[in-house]
Amino acid sequence: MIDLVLAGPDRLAPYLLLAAALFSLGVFACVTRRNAVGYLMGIELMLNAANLNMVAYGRFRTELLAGHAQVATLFVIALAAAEAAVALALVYAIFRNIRDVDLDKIRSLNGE
Amino acid sequence: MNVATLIFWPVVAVTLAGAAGAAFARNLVYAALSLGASLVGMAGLYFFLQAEYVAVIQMIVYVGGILILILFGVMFSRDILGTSTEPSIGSRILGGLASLATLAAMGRIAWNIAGTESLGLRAQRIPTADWVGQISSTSASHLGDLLMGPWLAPFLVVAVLLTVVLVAALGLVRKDAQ
Amino acid sequence: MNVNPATSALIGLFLPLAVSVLGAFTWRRLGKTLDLLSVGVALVGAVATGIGAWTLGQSGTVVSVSFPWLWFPGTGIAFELGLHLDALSAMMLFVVQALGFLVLVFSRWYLHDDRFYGRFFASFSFFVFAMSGVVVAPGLLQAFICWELVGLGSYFLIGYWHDKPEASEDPEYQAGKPWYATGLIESKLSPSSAQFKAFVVNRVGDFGFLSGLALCAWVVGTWSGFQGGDPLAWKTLFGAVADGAFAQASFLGWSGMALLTLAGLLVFLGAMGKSAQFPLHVWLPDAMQGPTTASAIIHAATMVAAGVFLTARIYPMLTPEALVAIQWVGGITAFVAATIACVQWDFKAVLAYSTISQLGYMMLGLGAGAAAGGYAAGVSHLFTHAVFKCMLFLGAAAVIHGLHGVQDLNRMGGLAKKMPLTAIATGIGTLAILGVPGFSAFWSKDMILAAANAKVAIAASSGMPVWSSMVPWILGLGTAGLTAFYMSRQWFLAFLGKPRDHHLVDHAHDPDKPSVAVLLLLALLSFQFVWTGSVNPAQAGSWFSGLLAAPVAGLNASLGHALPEGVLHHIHLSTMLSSVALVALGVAAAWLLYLNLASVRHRTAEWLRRDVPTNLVWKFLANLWFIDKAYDFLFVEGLGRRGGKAVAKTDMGGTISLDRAIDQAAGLSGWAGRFANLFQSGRSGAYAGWTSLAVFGALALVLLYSK
Repeated sequence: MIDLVLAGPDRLAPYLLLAAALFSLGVFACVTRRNAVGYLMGIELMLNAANLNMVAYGRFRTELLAGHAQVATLFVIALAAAEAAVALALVYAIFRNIRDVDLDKIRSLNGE
Repeated sequence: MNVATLIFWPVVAVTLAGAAGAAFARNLVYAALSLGASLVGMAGLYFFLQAEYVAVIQMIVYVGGILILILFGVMFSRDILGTSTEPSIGSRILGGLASLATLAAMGRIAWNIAGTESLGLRAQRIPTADWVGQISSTSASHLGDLLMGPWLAPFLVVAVLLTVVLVAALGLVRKDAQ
Repeated sequence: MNVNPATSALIGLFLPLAVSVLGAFTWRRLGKTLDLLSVGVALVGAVATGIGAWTLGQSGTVVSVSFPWLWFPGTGIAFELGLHLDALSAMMLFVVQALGFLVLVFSRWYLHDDRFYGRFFASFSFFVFAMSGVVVAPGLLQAFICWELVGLGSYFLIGYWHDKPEASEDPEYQAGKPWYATGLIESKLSPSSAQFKAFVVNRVGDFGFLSGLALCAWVVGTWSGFQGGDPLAWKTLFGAVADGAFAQASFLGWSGMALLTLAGLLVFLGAMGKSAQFPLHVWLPDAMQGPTTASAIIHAATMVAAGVFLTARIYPMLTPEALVAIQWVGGITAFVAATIACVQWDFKAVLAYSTISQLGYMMLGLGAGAAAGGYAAGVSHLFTHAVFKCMLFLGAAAVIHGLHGVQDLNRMGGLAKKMPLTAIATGIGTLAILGVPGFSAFWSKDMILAAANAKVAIAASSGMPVWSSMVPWILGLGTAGLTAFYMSRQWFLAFLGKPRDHHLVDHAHDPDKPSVAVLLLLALLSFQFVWTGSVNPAQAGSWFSGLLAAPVAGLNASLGHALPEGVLHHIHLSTMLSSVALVALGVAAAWLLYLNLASVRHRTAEWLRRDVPTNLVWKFLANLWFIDKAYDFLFVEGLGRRGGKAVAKTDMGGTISLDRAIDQAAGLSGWAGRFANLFQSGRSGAYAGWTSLAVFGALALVLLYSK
């Protein structure tokens, strides 16, 4: 009989390694993307990596607190949704003003 | 090796490949779609971590909501094929270095943990704060108890925040805003 | 009548907050009603906190109410909000509320035809709320939170006329600018620049405050004797300090006592920012861009007092080494600001630098240590100064209003005939700040100088290097003479002599009755007998003295033994005599230069123009010791946006020809600017890349090369 309960490897390390890879891919996307939406995707990747870490640690290291880790993850997801909404509204507003979403052309932080 | 493990590694592969696509694909529609694959894979991993409720929420909010928003954003940025926003070589080098540093730092931590786990220290249980009580389940109802209990204040704050975000996003895109 | 002090403090806290929240949304419509509402609320607050302070004083107890609001599960740490009312905080709360009320009454006249009228009262009420929150804080964390709110309130008040252009682009300013108005960075002189500058400069201090707070929380929270609760609550924190929590701690090779000194100094860095101590004093003169009545509260009883108040609060955790540093900072601040004040021609700028100088005095007093009587001296001066400086600023508001916005001392003169009551009131305030016998600062400032002098004797007897306390003492004495010079110069130039601009002075008049009443009331409070309860200037005791007992903890015992009574008496006498002599000298010099011998004054002006050494000294002072320009050059322009271009653009080279050294410094910072500019591409992606490369690169190196 096949055990229908999905149980991953009984180890924390694979999850951490995967999260590390996801996070660094997110960093790469954030640095290289010139399109504001691409930048946003990088941020989502990093948030997801953090979520994965949180749930994995909750599961393997603090069994009693696993629920808390998951609630915290839920909060991160809610905040990520809020962040995506605002970011896209910003992208839209910027697009309307300068007809472009190329981050390289939005350089007013440079003070010039 | 049981069935679960057989499924586990393909899910990891999908997640990783999706993330790589999101980071590298030049065509932004492909990038967004592979980000979607990665998010779905992540939901699968939550199942493996016995966080079923989080997995469902991940599917609903991330895949159902945020991904759609991002796709919408891609559609309306004029550069879907990514040809006019080719990253410069300098930013590629910087990005590579930064992500390598990130990978090195976090990978090292994971490596250390893998080392301790291979010594038989896996699935450590750390006795923690007393006010958590005896409940160790992570069922949806338990999560609901937590949300209405110790997490009530942040929960309310997030509710307010979401309202504010809704209004702010509307304010940003309203017609007469210049 | 008995009112629970906690209730009265709550009234004083939350009524102004309610007014400000209401006003924030409705000031355009409510305008003229909002002022009455906020004045009424301020009166209620002042009366309530006054009764509360009196009740507390009668019973001699400490009221402490707090509730936890931020838990850290598993550590036993729960930070608290609440009230902590002892003699010091209850009195300070009353002073804040009462002065707030008086300034509001005055503002109704001063701002009556202003276009943002209602907003002033809303911002002001918020400011009073924030400051009250600092005063009643039961621990460092609430103090910090309200501290930031005070910064926010000052941001609102300083930038009150936020749409005023920079001085370099303001035709009105350029038209009225005299030749001696040099040394200011006109392209960054406007309410909006000033509010930004105040905020940014305070960030530097707040960085220290926050680090110190974190250090304290970490040491106390992980200490074996920690019972749970708020590690930053005064009682827990000072108890832990006294019981040796720090002695057991160590960090990166720092011993416990060094850590304690570090923690004290870090928190003091925050106080330096708010209390405008050298070298973080640069925001205060710019803050004069706000309405003068706002200056009367910001620079008398609230924002700048917050730093001194905090230093007095954390007294039990200040080590002797930290106190020495505080004393030096205070001495240098007092002296530098006093020298700059001597050459200012702007009526308000003189008061601004005199405020910095007096705050330096307070720190000088506090730094002398409890054994030398420094704590009592610093705290007394905090209160007496709050009263007379508030009045001086209100007097300045009356003068500036009477002259339709002209602030140039050189165009005044003879105002005493036109506005006699203002002249009398500010005259009394000037006598008070000079430290003339019979006036309040004679009592408090002489206590500071005596404490600094006693500290020298204590240092000598306890084996500390004498020069370490000798220098601040001498700086303090010098400042006494300089204060006499510049304050009497200001009063002489403005109120006595013949009008130098008849057209302007002829139309001046006293403020309306309530405002004059405020001025005269504050003038009355600037007499010494109000504070010491005796007309005899040598009388040292006071109804006030219950408040001045230094908080004793384990540390203060090691601050050196008190001096014998005879020695103390001798010190007090000699300090009194020498400071009175210095004051007489300063007044006489001002009299000669600016009033009596007009030809001498004329010749002085000629010297300043032609004579090389005098010119250099004058330019050095008029350029504010080049501190502002150096900051602008190094931090604002240099490392900021324009990098290397600043080298060519700065007017530093043109102002003074110390050339070589300055050029080299300019080249160096220009190079640094160009280097920094490499990273300031403006691309947010690049910022993210550099940040993560730095953070994770460092983390990776640490992890890879550790075992």
